[in-house]
Amino acid sequence: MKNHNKFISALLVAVLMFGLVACGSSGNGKGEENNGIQNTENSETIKGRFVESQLNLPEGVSEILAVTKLDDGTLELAGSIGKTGTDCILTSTDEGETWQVKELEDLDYSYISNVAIRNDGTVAYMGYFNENQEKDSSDLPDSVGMKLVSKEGEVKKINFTLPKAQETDTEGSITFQKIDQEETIEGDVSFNEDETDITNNEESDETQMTSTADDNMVLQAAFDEAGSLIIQDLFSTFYKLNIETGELSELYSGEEYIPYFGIAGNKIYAAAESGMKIFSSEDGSMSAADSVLDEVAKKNSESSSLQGDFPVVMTKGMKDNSLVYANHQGVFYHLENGSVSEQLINGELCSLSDTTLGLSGIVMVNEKSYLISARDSMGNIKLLKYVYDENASSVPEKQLKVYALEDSNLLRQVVANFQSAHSDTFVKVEIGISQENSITAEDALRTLNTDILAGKGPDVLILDGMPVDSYIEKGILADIKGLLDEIEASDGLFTNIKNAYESNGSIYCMPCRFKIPVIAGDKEAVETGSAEGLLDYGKTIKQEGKRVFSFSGTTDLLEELFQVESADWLTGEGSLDQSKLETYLQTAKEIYDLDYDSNSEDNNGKDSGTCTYNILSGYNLGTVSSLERLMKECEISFGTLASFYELKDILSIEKQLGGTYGIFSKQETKSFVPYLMVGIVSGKEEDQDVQELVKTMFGKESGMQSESGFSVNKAAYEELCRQEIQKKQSNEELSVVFSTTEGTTGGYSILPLTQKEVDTLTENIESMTSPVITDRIVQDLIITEGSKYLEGNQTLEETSAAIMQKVNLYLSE
Amino acid sequence: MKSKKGILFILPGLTGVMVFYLIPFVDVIVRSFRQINGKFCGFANYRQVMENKAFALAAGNTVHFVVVCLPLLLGLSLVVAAMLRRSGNVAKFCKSTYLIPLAVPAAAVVLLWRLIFDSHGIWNRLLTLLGYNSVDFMNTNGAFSVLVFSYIWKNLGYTVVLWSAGLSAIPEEIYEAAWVDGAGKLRAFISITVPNLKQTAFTIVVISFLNSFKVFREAYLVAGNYPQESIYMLQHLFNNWFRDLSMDKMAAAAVLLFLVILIFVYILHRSWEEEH
Repeated sequence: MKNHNKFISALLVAVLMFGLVACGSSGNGKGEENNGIQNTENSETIKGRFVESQLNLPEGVSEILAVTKLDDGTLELAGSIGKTGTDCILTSTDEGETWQVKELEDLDYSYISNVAIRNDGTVAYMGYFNENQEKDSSDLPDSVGMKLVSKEGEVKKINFTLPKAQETDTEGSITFQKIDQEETIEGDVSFNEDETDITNNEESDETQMTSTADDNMVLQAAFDEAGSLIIQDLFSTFYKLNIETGELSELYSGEEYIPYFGIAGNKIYAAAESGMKIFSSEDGSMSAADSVLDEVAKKNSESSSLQGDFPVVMTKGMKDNSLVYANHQGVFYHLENGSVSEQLINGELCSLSDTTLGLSGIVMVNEKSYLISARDSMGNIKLLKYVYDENASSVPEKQLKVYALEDSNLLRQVVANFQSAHSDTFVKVEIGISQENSITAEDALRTLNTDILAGKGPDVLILDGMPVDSYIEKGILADIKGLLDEIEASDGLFTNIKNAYESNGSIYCMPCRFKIPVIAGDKEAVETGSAEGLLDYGKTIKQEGKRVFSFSGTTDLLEELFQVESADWLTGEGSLDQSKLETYLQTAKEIYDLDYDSNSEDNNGKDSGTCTYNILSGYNLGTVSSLERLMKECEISFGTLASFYELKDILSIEKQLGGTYGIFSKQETKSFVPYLMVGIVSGKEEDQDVQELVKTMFGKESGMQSESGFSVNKAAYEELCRQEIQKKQSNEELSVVFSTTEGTTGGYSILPLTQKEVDTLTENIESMTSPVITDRIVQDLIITEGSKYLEGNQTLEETSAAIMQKVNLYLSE
Repeated sequence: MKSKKGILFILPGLTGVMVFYLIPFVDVIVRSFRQINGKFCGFANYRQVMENKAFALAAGNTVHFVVVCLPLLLGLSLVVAAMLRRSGNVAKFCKSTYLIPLAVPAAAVVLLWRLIFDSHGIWNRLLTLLGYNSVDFMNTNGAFSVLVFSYIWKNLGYTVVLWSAGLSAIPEEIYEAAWVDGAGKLRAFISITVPNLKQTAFTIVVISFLNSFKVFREAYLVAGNYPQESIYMLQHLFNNWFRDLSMDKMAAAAVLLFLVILIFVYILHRSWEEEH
């Protein structure tokens, strides 16, 4: 009995101990989901991966409209060449290493919407051809047409008619409604200012505004394996188009909008928001739903761009029921109804991770070679080739880690630039807050801090939204002045921006980009220059029932003024200057009251009071817009300027209105808004790869890309200036058309910049001396309390006291 | 032999306590003498903490809260427990009802706070109807009263149950003897109930004292990292220091807090022992 008891005791103890020891997690605790995706490249000991290279196309090729592999193994590409954009067909028999160019005769079109290549080399061009505008021909209704170009270069025109579209405008919203050609709308007809039909439908209370000559159009087209042409129209209806006769037979029509599709063999994969619709290109019969592809469609449901870029591009795999698809996560192989997709190429190891890269097509050359056609954010075309190298390690041995609180296209671009130039180094970008994890910034920072303390922290920090001063004080950040001096020596940096971050001979962080607070309006408004002056001027031009300023709510107004006023608020004693704070609040209140009634029960102009962190958002375009002035929605617009395009937009509109733009700042301090602030974690500054990564971030190539702020790299800035002025010399203009909520339409041309305008911008940039307060805690406290004051829920004294108490408490910690 | 067997049984639990509490605490003590980069700095962190205004405010508020809440909670819960003792079946039902606040999640409590104590909440509506001015509780010193109310509401039931357990251990014969001797209810309470509850009181005081630190959850959910001054507690400060990577100051403050609690419990323990 005693031995029995001993045995049971020992067994129980062993079980308890086992329970303790076994309760450990080897996961990373970050809750990553793989959604049915297997990563076959996750072992450092495994060799073999696809290596990216960029193929050189013949000089002058400026567009890739379609690319495919023909039955005989030749690669064929339809594109444009030369300054005039002549259509051409390129062929390659050596897997894209060299190309033969054949320029086509003038296809005589006014607009090409789609190009598709058949597997025998025939190219189909769909669009509006100039013959279609001969209205007297009954055989040529006002619809799209197509021209087929054979491999030998013969051109054949095919006419076909899609069901017409009708644009309806109900209470300011624009929807499309399909109508049969026999349907008529009865009622009185009258015209508005721009002579558009306004028809009152007696059967409903809606006022329908129809515009003539708006046809249905082909959104996307592609050939299937059998050589049939599949087209998708504006209403997401799919047709098989007989290219001999122009006859359309409907394959699929659904209620849901489908932004894009792909064809693999004889199966069509149409990506809707609810999931992937799979149906046959022969008879339109639906296939069973595929859960893995449904997730792909849901996660990549944004619309394709007008330039023909898609979130996901697809092609047929090796097997009949297989699909190869590519997106920014990589290239994947999927067997029909399989439970997983195999990741062939990890997007993080190549340019695919650049979220500004627009993908237009994918070709499987063979099992070990793929081509992807793409366009970068500057509009430059790329033909990327991925070839399997069995000697390359599956994941580069050198790995760097970059951490940012929020994701941004610019960060992805910069990392992709670095990866392209350093294929032996893998840069892992870790994002603190994303839509998947929905955690707060504080939680993300705590997790980061834990990693740093455990020695598993990142190498490079993107410090937007982080407690930078605290990190500097704790010695978390390394001195990067040496690196910046090197970049300054080679490319040049804006010295005023660099000096703003220098302290005791060291620089611990610096933004790669910055934005400029500006005002757009009449000369008198712009000359006021400051918030108080602007307010005084605004009072003189205020008209009953019309808004003076362009802000959209309390938070928006407070944020915009914060970027102008806050640069000199922090005193040396670790506190806020209360008088400056009160001046800011009072000015904001008066500006707000000029356009909104805070006593009104109407919610117009009011916000929830929570700070949206627009200043630190990864979506970092400028916020000033003269378009609202052109649409007569306000008299004065103020906000931040983030790119040359935005500057051109403002100047083009202001020229039409007789206005101008200028820097919005205090008299004594001209501030700028930093973006993508980079710092190196202490201890990692000697690592060559880390240094190279940071140099890439501040480098000229990265500075030339994207439109999220102006680059601090002077060489990049000056090159962009030069390109802008060159556009002026070549008379390049873009046109913009808009419609207002009242139903009127208008337009303007975006004019290239002149040398004088560029010089003025440069002067303005070089005059800026201080960054705005980027501490998100301080911003949040001020804007949250400030919103209550603007909405009339508390007095200035109460607001000021609450802010001072909280901010002082924060700063005293 | 028996004691060896006993040790074997407590070993898993003890291992857990050591791994998750004792060893990390030793690490905290070590960190309190070092900077973030690991460099030894002596008592510099302690000096920084003692000179820190935010720490002074938080510590003062925490002490204020404990000094106000603890006696209130203990007194109120004892009175309720004593009343329930005599109420028979009704007592059983009430005890269960009193425990419900403990089961309510903090987020739900916060919603309730907002409904009742917001500047446009139910309480202010009532005040306005009665002709008084409304009070913005969460942005004035009224926030402290709300916090006290919330703490007592949440912990009253639990403390009542603990008192009830102590009360039920007192033999009925002592009370009968006292009544025979002419003692009234109040006299019996003061001379019999209270002295016999001292052992229970020690446990309840310690538990309630530790629970008083948990009130941070509601304060944080309602008012965020920087609430009104009167409810800015030590945990707010620790939370914010964690975010700002001020682990050195946090470690020093944690050690100081531990010492204070240790001294408090020790004094309590000694005074109980002396009385016995």
